[in-house]
Amino acid sequence: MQAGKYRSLRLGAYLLLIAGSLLFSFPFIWMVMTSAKVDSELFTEKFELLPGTPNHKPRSPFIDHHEYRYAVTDLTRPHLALIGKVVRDAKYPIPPGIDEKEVIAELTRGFARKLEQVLPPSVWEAGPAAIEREARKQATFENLRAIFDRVYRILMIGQLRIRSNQFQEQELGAGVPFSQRFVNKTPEVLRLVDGKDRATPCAYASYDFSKGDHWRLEQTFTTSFDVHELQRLRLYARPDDNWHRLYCHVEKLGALYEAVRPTAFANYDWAAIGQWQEPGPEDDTNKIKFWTHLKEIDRGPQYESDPHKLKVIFETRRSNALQAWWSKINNNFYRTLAFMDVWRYTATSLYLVILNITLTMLSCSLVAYSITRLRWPGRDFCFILMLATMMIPAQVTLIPGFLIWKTLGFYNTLVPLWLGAAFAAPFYVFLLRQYLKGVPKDLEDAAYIDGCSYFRIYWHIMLPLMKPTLAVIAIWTFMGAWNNFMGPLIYIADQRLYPLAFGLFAFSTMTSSNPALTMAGSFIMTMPIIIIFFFAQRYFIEGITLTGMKA
Amino acid sequence: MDDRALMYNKDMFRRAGLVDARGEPAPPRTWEQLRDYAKRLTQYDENGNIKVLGFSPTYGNAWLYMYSWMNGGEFMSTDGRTCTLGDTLNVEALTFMRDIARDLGGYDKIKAFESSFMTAALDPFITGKVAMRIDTVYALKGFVPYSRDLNFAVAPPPVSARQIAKGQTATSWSGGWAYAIPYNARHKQAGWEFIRFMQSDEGWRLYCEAEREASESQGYAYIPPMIPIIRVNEQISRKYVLDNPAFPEKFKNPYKVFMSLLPISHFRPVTPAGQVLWHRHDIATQEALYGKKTPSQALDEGAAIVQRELDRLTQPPHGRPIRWSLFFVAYGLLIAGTAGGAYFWDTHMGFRRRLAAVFRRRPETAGGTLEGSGGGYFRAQWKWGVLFTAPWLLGFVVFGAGPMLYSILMSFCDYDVINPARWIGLENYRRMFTSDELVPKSFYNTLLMAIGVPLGMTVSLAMALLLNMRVRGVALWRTLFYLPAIVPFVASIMLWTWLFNPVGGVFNKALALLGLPGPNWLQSETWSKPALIIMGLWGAGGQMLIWLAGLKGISQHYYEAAAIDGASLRQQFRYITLPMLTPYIFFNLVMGLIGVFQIFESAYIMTKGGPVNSTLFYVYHLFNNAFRYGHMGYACAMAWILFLIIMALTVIQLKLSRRWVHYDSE
Repeated sequence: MQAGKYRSLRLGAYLLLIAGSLLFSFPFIWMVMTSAKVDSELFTEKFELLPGTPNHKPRSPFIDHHEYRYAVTDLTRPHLALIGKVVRDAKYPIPPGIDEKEVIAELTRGFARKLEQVLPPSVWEAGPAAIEREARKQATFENLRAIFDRVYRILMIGQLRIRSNQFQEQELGAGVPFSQRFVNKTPEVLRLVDGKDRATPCAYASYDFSKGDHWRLEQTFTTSFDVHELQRLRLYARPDDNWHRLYCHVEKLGALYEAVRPTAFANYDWAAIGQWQEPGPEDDTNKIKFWTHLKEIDRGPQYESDPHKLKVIFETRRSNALQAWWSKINNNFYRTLAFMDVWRYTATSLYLVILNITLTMLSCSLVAYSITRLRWPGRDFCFILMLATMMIPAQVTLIPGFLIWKTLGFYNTLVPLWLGAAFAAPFYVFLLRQYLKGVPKDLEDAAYIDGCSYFRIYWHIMLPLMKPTLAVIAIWTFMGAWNNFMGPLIYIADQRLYPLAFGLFAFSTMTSSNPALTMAGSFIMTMPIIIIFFFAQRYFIEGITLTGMKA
Repeated sequence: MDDRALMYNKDMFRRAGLVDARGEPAPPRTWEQLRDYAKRLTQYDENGNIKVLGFSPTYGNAWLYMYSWMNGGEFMSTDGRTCTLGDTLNVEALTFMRDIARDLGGYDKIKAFESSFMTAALDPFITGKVAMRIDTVYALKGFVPYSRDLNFAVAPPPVSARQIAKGQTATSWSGGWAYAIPYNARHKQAGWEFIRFMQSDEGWRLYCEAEREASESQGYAYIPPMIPIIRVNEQISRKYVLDNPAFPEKFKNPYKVFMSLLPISHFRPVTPAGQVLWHRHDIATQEALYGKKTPSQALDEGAAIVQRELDRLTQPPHGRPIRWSLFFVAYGLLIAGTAGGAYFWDTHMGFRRRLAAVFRRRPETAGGTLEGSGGGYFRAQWKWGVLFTAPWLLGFVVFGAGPMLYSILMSFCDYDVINPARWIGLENYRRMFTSDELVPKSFYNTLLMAIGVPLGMTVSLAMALLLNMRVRGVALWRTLFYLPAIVPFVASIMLWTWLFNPVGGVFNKALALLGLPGPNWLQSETWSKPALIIMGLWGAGGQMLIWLAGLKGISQHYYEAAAIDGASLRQQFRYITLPMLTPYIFFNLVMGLIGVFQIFESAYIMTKGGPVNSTLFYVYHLFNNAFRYGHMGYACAMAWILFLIIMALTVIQLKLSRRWVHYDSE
């Protein structure tokens, strides 16, 4: 009887634990999931927690079913067959190589949404005949093309531009039709034809990876400026959201260069999908680093060495499901690393955390030792003062504090963010004192009789004794320093000096609150704390227990 | 800079039959038309909530300024000495805004709908959720990447009948930003050279080229900024838009409309009371739209406050400037005096007696002076004691007491950071208690938030009890429960804004499942504070750790003894756990209440103090005064009153605690 009751209690406890941890870890789960979403998934009509499966179709072009998945509503659903008929009758020219049925189905859904937006309620109420009449009026080439554009995924290759250190720009292969700007080394897999996206001329690329696992384009271009001066190479394209990977190689001045990582064909808007350049002075600026580094991997006479010639090789390799997922997951992390200088910010944060923890622990323990165990005139008065200052809101001293640091010449340096820790925080001194009150004095007395100096007593006896409470202080200080927001906001103007938490905030405003990037940055910032907390929480709780919150 | 125009969705106009004789959609040209169109373009779902919004007077970038200028109003007299916010023309404009909101079912409904708006590709104007909006040329810029199938046009903002009678058919207003060189800048000349360069033809050329490159690298057409130098502006707009064959036709006409409005565009009054005027006009708008006050009442009250600020600024400064040398000497003397006093108190019995006599109290410790006062063995400790305390002493003298005295002094001064501080006596305090109606309001808001303290304590205690059980993988569970306290602020703000969304948010979806109507949360005057409290509960993990520590500290013997006596779990909790936890309850209570009085960040980022000042907390008001209006002295006075409140609360709790807090070992 008793055992049964106990078991059901335990079961209930586990259920509560699971429910509670789901509730409380939800923000974190949301954060992780959002960090793996592409931009088009961020703002959807219906909430989706999980990021969508990335395409990795072997053939392109293809039709994407994602775009209009919520387009049909209760209003249009009964008339879908009719709308489909109107779309079919409109005979929208369908490019070869894709399934006509698929296109019609997507066009129908997209057109249903268009009609819902355009037709007045009176038409919907008037019945099928009226709807059909109005729908036919709307089924113009322009309207259908707008819908088709949003579901038709095709890789369009645009200009390849280079730029010199003197800001000279050149479009490589200008004057040659886009389809012939590169030599197609894998004609069995890839086919290029000239085309136009609205006003932008480009090459339409269709490929089929069932005929080979990669395709390759290469060309030796003549440059208008000396290749020594080459700063960056930039490829404009409209990707097909197919997540295959583009590798870039460049031959110049007798050496072969390789891009340090491939670019995935993510999203489907025109963009400079690749920017490649060698490591250089620009890496040390706080510019947004859109570029991928080119690394020299080989040197020899077989490579292009003419100072006015540049050989570019683009190779696209097929991604399997795993690779597509991996590319998608790390996509935002790479973008985050490009947008903000995570490593510099992290280093700054670590520097601040280490200094803060060390100084806080040393100064607080020293003061606590003196206040609890040593006797000197004015001691009790000082302790009362200390307790009183604990109650002063930070806002009171915010402004004069700033003026003082500024007068001392420490504005826009990291000093105000750590030197304050050397002045012993009253709250921690108080905690340590509470703890020391419960520790017998015998050890110190013995040491003193043996001729130990006060400093040695502090260093060899008191400090080890205070360990449990110091652990608590260390963790609190860590959290405070790691998450410090107000400090950098007030004292730091130079972006290069930002610690991580503030850098993340600045980054989030800079990217106009793009949730995916913010979440990727947050993830980077949160991970160390979670790991530390996971391993340290036991000591932390024990430390507080031993201190005992006694007034 | 920028200017404003009316954007409208042509498809939606056609759908509502708002077309001219040729069947082309016709934008509203008058107030009456705008009001009528807004009504005709708005659609509701079966619950009466807005599904498609014709027009919102506050969505986009219009403000009361726009409507006043549509009506020929002004906000300042021409000599800049009088605030004319309460003028009839402005009242008419605000009434017009309120009437539109009323026509559409109330401002609450509009705001609830607006809160579901998203940005970028799902901008409500692009997705056909909003038919008309007044916005700047920069909104146009935002449309370029996403509006492949958006069928829209831009027209000049309509005007009131009064203006049409005067022959005015359109209006607009321009905002912008400016370069400034602080008067104490180290390299004034270099700053000036930089500004001159940025405003030169070459500077603008480089600026636009860089922007063009950035937007082209992301794949869309570039719309250049409006440039406040007419000649350069014409050059740039020709180069990138008008004479640029690659510029999409669809955006050419809208761009031209924005450009054509520049000659008749207004600018906001340039006045030292600009921040206050801006803030007050916004508050008055909210009050009128939410139906808290009539438009004329709201504007009159706002005007009075702006006028007071204006008078303060235009009158010659009164009060004597502070002499800083005197302050430092006084501070030095004070430190020396206090140190000496404390020293003699501990070492000289005679001094202690005399001092006690001054305060008419008997010295509590008659025991005499500190060991070592007469020299000898204990003296050795003195030196080391003081030396070891030196870190705190130094910090206290430089960053503790000094700033505190400074801020006390400032609280009696008129200080705006730019001009030297002037002594005005108790003026700041008097204003706080008599004429600033936002002080009691913010205080009331803060007090209401205190409800969250016991709630938070209960939730975190429940969590701690759960996690204190002997279960497997306790470290993992604890970490999971603690996660919300770790997630960076920036991330959790985004999450909560979305959770509280009245239309698509999780809370209201859950309530709808239970058949309850969901409130507007952050957009509602009544529910904004509860929303922030709920948000605070989620982060209860921090307190949970303190409780866990307390629970670990309770000896198991008590429970064993109780179990043998047959006490139930509930009795054990009531008669062992709770009493043993009282020190922790006390700690969490004190810390929680102190925390309540300092609430700031969440309101600052999530609600901006609104709606209608319902989340304007005490520290937020303080912050506004210090950093937005430049009333530094006033802010210091507020900070000291805050200190007194916190101090009083803590002392009261300490006194009360003797009755209920149980200390195990003593």
